[in-house]
Amino acid sequence: MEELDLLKKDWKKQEANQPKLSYNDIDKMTHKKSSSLVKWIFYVSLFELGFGIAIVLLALLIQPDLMSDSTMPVWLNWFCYGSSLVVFYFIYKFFMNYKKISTTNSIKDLMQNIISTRRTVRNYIVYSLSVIAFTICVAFPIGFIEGTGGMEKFSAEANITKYLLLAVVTIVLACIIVALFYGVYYLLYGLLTKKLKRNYKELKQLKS
Amino acid sequence: MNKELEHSFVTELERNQNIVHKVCRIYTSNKEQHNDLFQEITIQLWKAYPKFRGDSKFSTWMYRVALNTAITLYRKSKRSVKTQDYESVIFKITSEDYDDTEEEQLKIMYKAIKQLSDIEKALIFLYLEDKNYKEIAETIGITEVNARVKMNRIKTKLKKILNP
Repeated sequence: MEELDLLKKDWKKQEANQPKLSYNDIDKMTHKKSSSLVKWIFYVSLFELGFGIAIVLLALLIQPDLMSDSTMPVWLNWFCYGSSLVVFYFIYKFFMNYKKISTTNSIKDLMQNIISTRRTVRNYIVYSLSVIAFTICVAFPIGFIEGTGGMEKFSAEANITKYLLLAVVTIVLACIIVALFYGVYYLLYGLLTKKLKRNYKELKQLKS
Repeated sequence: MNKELEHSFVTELERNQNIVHKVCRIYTSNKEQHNDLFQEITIQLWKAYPKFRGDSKFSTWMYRVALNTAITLYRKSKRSVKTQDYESVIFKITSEDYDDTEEEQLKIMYKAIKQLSDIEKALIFLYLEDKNYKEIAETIGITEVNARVKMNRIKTKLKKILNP
């Protein structure tokens, strides 16, 4: 292509026209703070990972005897302990993936490592949302029944319509809360990784 | 990080800053963005420098970090607003061998490159820097064959932009 040869010739000549920064200018830059995508992803991910923990801590702060609440089934406590272990697993995996991110990798490898780090957080979000939905589905009916005089009173008075109404309200509440959290997550994730995903898709089409 | 390391890094970068300026040129459209990206590349190079083992040339190592920063890590600063025609300010057509038609052709070529995708820009940049297909493939993370195929597609795409 003739034009490209012309461009190549001119490209070499352009070196003389490039701006020239002094030693001091460059030295100053090394002390500036980065505003890279990886840094943003790191902070957003930390916020997302910390959010689940913060909710549990807040709940325990407001109601310290939450775990020993006699109205809650015992298996729910074990479920909470199990969930905490899963959260720690996600945090561990996130840091291990994060350590792999290096600007000296090839362009494709760097993108892959960033995406797999984000994927860990995405899985964590999916897991957290499932736990939230499950907790609402268990805790809301129990709370409601206890608040209106206990299980015996409720089952004595309740008819099929009341049971159905409680089930529908619980499911709608769970859906609203999950949709709200997912909306915030999707917005943050989508905005941060729009460019990355577009470029990665293009590279993936070229088999390595 | 110690002063000695910092001194050797800044000296190397000062000597090879042309590479970073050229990457900035391909990926930005005004002077503010150019400076912003230059700064981000410098920070990323400095962060990666302690792991630079010298088994490749400093300049070769720079291409990877600079392109990775421009394509993947750099987030355009909101304060960068297009104020003037960038190409005409920083990159003047050299006066020697001045040719009206050539000048016009080059202007169109530079504009056409701006319309390429980020990955295509990386390929054309490495091609203009006289890198062979093996180096291009390694920097991008694709096979040599795919690098050639992609380069041919870019040439066709450029042709279409130039002769619509």
